[in-house]
Amino acid sequence: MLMPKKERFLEEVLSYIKFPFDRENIKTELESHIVEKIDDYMEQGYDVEKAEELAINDIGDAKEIGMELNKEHNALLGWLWKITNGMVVLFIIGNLFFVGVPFFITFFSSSPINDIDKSSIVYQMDIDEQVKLDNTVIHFTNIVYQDNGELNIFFEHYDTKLWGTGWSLGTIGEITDNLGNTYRARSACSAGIKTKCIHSLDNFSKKADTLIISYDSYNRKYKVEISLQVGENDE
Amino acid sequence: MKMDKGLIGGSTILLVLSLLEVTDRYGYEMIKELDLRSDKTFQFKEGTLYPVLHKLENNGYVKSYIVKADTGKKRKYYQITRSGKKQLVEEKKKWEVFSTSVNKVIAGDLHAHA
Repeated sequence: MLMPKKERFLEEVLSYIKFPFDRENIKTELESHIVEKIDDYMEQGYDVEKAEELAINDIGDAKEIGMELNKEHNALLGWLWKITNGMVVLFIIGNLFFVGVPFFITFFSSSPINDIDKSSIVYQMDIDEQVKLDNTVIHFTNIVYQDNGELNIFFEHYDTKLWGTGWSLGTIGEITDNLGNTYRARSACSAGIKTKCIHSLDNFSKKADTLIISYDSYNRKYKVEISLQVGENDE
Repeated sequence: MKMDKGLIGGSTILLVLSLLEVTDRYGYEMIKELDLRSDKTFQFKEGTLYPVLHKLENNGYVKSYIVKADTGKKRKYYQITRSGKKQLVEEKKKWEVFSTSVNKVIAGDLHAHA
């Protein structure tokens, strides 16, 4: 149904509204008013054209209504509001990014074990040793021995409390073998909720059959003994 | 009887908030209710209701929400807020004082002649 008078009225009212984002809502509200009024007149027996004419006459002067409405839809405040909202959205996206990235790294980063050159591996063991220091859980997962005498210990650690107690894992303890040798480890860790680490020991004795990691600091203790594969791969 | 627009002007807020006191209404419904209650005394241009409603909304006296009817028609309903109810009490008081004073004036001040 074409209603040219209604359209002209709405168009003129909206031409006074300076803030573009409010125009649609104003149009919807006024239009539904006019349409209902037209329906009521038609129920009373008027034809469409007459009903439209009466309804538009009842609603009043488009210029006066448009100018009054524009006062209540301040463009400057409207834009400020829009911009503020935009900033809030950006702020939230930014935060999601900073929270999301560690999650992403944790779940999608490949295991550091893949960084080791496969052809250099003499043997590789999956282990499952877990110790706890206060709220930090340390989980030893793999041992890889390379042909250059390097022993790599893979482990991950994480906090059982979401917000750490401020106790950061400095060292996993002293690393020795059953022959009494002590090793210094080079360590590398990835970021993430679960931190994945490698400790690499140079020139690990081929004859040692047990790796011992013992921690004894700040009145906290643990000792992990891991049996190694010895001899089978001797050349 | 038709009323002068200026005469209604001062009491617009009182009238509109009163219409919303008991139930939420959309614009056209308010016009019809006003006609009904006032026996069509307040004949004003219907469109001028909307700037008033939007002003009340900006002032926080009412809030609005859209309801989509089964027929697909969208209606914007207005609801009086807590601060709108406080304002309504104020406006009613002001109206009491005003109408009492007007009545005194038009009845003639008897004390003046005593």
